[in-house]
Amino acid sequence: MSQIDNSGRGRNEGHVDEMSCLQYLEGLLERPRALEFSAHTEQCSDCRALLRALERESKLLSFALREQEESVPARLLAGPARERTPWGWIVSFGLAASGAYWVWTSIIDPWQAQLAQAGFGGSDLLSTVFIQSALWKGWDTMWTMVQALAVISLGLVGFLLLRRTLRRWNTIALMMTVIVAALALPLGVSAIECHKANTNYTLPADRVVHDDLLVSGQTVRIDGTVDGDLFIFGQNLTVNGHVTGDVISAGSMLTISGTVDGNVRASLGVLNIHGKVGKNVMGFTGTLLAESQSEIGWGAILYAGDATMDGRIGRGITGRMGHASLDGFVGGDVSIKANDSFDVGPHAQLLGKVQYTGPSQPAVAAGARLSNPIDVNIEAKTSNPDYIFSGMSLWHKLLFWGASFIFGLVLLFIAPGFFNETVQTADRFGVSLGVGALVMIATPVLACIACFTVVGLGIGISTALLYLIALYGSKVFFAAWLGRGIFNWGRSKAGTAGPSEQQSFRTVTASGAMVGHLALGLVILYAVRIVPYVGFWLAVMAVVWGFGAMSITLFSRMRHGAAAI
Amino acid sequence: MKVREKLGQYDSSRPFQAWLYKVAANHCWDMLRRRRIRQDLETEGVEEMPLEHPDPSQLDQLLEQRSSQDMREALAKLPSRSRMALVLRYYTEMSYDEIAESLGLRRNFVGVVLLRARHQLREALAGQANSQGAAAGRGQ
Repeated sequence: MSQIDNSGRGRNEGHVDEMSCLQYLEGLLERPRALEFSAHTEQCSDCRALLRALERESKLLSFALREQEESVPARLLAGPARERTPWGWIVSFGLAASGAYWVWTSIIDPWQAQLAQAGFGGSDLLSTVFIQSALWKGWDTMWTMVQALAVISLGLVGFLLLRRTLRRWNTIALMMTVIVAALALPLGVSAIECHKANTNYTLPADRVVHDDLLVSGQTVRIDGTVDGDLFIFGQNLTVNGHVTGDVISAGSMLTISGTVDGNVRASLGVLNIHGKVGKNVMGFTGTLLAESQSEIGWGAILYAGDATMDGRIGRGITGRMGHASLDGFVGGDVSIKANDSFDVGPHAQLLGKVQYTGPSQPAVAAGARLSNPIDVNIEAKTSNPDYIFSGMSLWHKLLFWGASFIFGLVLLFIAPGFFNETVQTADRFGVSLGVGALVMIATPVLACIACFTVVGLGIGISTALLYLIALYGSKVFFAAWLGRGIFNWGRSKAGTAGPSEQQSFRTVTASGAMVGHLALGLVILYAVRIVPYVGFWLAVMAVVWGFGAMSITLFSRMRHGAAAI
Repeated sequence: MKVREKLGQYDSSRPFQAWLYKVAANHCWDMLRRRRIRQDLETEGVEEMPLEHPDPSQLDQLLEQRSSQDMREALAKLPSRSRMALVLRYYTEMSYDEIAESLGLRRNFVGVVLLRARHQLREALAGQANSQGAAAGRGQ
């Protein structure tokens, strides 16, 4: 628009136009044009006068506007401040705190007390589980390695984040980490005798193994003596001999007819005890049968479908079962939660307190000798519609919602980039579900395999722990995806979404909006979970879906290097 | 309502009125944007803009003895989008790019909008002068 009119018409005759003057004053003219303009105004008094007048007008305008500055009335500032109280956050954090408190007081604390009753002792759960070797004899030596692995993992994460700036050193760092990990890995598991039989394995009665023994096979029979721990896996497993350490077992059926001086820890279809266990029995079994001649020196922690305990148990019993039956001697307290029923037989002799929670009254035979009356707590089955829609159930769901929400918030604010990317990846429905199913199955299998290799016990356990955390987190990603989809759908219906957003929901969402999406998605997820059967499978699908999206995102980032988290 | 919502974002070190104008303008432009008529309104009559050299002496005479109060009263009489453009430029000292973004305009139209606003301001000032002159005449 800048032009010097030499046409000789009207007021523009040989002068610059007003727009050009303004642009010159604002310093917006390009240099050649500005020089031309400047040269002209030096010679043209009329244009100089116009420039001065326009400049004066600008100054007057600025002055008039600035002169009117005034402070904001305090009442205006004070009013909205009250309205901006973040009630949503307060309620969410309150629920989360209540959830954490409830989980501790209702689950962890009672279990801790029950563990102590059962003879596991310990000042806290961690020391019981890890330090005092209740679950794993090798934890004492393993603990140092777990700490080392934790440090190494943190280092890896750090290097992953700094990969862009430390690209050249990344390979070196990874190699060093692997070397350090290899050096730190357990030496304790190296002294072990291993046998893998395709069909049958028998340790003869006259044979003594002076190391730990690891055996796997279709049918395994230990008639001899193992002077150490026995790791035994297979379909039909029998211990007729003597084990001076612990028995750790997984498989279809384990029968203990001999003597185990230590603990028995098993995950089996059937655990049948005829003989003697010096310390504790911890079992995740379909059926537990402790026959009348059996003897457990300390206590029993059980998670069983059907548990029949007719033998002698030196200390207490803690467990959750479908059906539980006691018809022997129990020296300590009994705490049982049964989904179906609880029977006390005529030969039962229970010296401690008996606490029972279940859907119906326990059946106590006439001859049973109880030092204390049974403390019965009738509780409806969780699949019962009356329970599902009860206030307590809904309250629990609200607390679980709060816990999930706070978990999601932590994830979102620690790694917003990863969170957003995972939610976007969840758009790929089929791939997410497929990869999710694959990784969910493969990870625990690989973790188990790693546990049985010389270098992999720590890695296997660490992987298992991370796997559990990831399982919990996967529904958070799915919920955020679901919430975002609903928000965007609502906006498109209302006509407020832009065309690009209507075409695709794959837009990066701000953290504030994502919080809202997360909250809404979790509400829907927990509400759907209430629906019997269908709700369960939908929840499983949500977990698989989210797990898949998370796995794809992680894999993608590991391949291409971490961008901003 | 909009002002109350946005008050929490107000920086007390900045002029309140400019901020107020900006909030109001943004709100108005949001509404216009939704109706998809913003650009039409802004660019209408661009071709009719006078591309001429005004008489500097007349402009000087118009600005002579105009107080800040007169200027503010004249500003108040302007159409809202013209007033907003002047406030953003000469009060908040936004660049043309920022004004374009703030008002949802194409960058090339900012100068036109500002020039048109100045013309309207001069008309308002002239109207004030005429009415003041008439009042003075009646007083005598």
